[in-house]
Amino acid sequence: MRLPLLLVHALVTCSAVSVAAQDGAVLLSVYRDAVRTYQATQTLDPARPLVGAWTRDEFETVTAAEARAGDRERIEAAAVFHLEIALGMAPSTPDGAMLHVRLGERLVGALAAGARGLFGRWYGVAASVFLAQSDTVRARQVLGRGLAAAPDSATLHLLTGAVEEIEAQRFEPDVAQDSAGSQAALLRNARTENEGTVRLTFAEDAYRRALAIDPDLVGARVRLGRVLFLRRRVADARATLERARADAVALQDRYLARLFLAELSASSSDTDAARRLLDEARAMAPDRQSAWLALAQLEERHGRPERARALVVEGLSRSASALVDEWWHYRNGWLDREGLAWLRARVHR
Amino acid sequence: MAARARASIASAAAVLMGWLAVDVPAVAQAPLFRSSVEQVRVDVSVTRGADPVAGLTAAHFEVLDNGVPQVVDGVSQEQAPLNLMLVLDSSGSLAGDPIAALVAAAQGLVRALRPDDRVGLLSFSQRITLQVAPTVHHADVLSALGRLSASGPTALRDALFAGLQLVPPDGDARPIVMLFSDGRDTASWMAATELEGVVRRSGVVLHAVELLGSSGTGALRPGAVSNDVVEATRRARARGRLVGISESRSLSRAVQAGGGRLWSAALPGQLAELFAEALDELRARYLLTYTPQGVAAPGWHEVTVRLKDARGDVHARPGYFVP
Repeated sequence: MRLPLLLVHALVTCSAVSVAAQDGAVLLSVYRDAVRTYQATQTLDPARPLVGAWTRDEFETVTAAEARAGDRERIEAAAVFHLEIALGMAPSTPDGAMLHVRLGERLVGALAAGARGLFGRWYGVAASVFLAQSDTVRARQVLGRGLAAAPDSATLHLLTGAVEEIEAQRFEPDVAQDSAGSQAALLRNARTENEGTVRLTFAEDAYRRALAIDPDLVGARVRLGRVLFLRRRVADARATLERARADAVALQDRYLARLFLAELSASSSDTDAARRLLDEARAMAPDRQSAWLALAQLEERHGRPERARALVVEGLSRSASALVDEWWHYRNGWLDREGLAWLRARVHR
Repeated sequence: MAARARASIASAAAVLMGWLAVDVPAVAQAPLFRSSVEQVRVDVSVTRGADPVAGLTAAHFEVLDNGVPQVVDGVSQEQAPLNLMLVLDSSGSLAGDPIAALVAAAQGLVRALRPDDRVGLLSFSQRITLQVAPTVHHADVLSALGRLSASGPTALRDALFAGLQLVPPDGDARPIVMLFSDGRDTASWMAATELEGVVRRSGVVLHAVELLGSSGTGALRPGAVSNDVVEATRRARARGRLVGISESRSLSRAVQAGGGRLWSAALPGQLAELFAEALDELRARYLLTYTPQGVAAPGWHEVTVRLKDARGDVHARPGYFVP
């Protein structure tokens, strides 16, 4: 007996839909297991075998399903889960890291508008995943989308300023070109310097927006002070950095405020003040290399080579195993560890 | 008066320049030579194309101190041991073949040193690490080189500053920093405008080997170098000269201030050859000494070295400063 062609087609189609639905349900179940495992163990390692071989389409399928399901707790946990994956991938496979950021964005995007506090934290960490690799291009992309979702996040404005400032430093003109004297070199340097100045202007704007939203965000004030110094607005820079130094609680803010004030003092020929500030910075974080080198350079410049040499030797010795220096973070970007800790605490069980 | 002049010149030597005044025991900073008094020492390279010129005598050199002709007291070559600090970039842009080529090239150079030469190793990414302080135990440096790995941004200026401080011009050895880098500075505290002055004041001869093509972002890989750079390098090598096509003008000027030379490689595979060339050049340098005559002691002394009855390019520090 032959079945009508239309009926055969209908049976095949129903069967395919059923298998696909079943596969989707299985995938979602495995995905939820992976996220729950991450939540329980607070590490990706045991969850990785569950989803480690998944394709992009499979991740797209499950995150879309999870977003549709609308369970707030599950969505938040999954969004942080993807951030963790992105964090692990960013150093070697930034495109893969960006895929997981986008998957996480889909999830946080499914949360209600009332979750803006979470948006700011999540996007801040997501952008800093790339910023920590000095990848300002991807960090800027994430920040742009984050500010669209959470325009009143002071942290996102601060990070935007940091991206601008890091990029500004890439436009440092080649000083020796100036001396070479060729017209082409002078024009090239002028263009470069102008580009850098424009970036610093953007950075200043971003830091001011961050402070308008949260006047207690000392990190933005410290960085604003340095931008003002770089733009040769010395009096404004000094006032801003002095206030930052007075308000700073976190080590990174206390340390950088002193470093930048020392730089400003040295440029104003107040060598004693610069020495005092760098001594304070060394005392609060003796394993940071930057304050030792800054002081050594100051001493060498002022005709004290033996003192400079001693500072270099001791500074290199004390910082031999240091993994962190706030100056490094300032110059090339950093991971928002505080934000990441906040997100983890929120989803870990 | 004579005592005052001695002190001034010795002070200049202690604080500054590759123009090294000599042996005044009363000065706090170590004298540079023990063999004579009130002398300035000039570390000079003479090359023709890529090749050092040998066999020159005092009669072949004309020295001007602030424009005033000086009498060259002595010329020596290949006698004083080296006090060499290798300052090597180990930032992330060197990951893979470039760091392997760098390590092999540096190990080749260390193996070619003489037993009485001192050598140290400073590596840098954003952090500067003193791997081995200058020593005659060359095996320590070879071993440390074998452990180098590449990661992180580049603090070139700070590393060079540290390296210059670690081979002070004291004793009889010739203080030399050999810098290697492949890119722009992205992490130093020191501003680019300060680099040249630091080198001038150091009293250390600075040589640099630069791997072209990866300044800015991204790693250098064979084939990633622009055709222009490869072609410029090929033409330069055909002329027997690999100096002066650097992408980093500020590094070029620093090397000039240090009286040394800059070798530029387009590909990692060229590093071993360039390190060997650099060592040959170090060995072939002349040490000229003269007693300053007819020039006031304090201030900057511009020193010019020219050849008489001989052909070649002269590389030497541009002067010294007497405070």
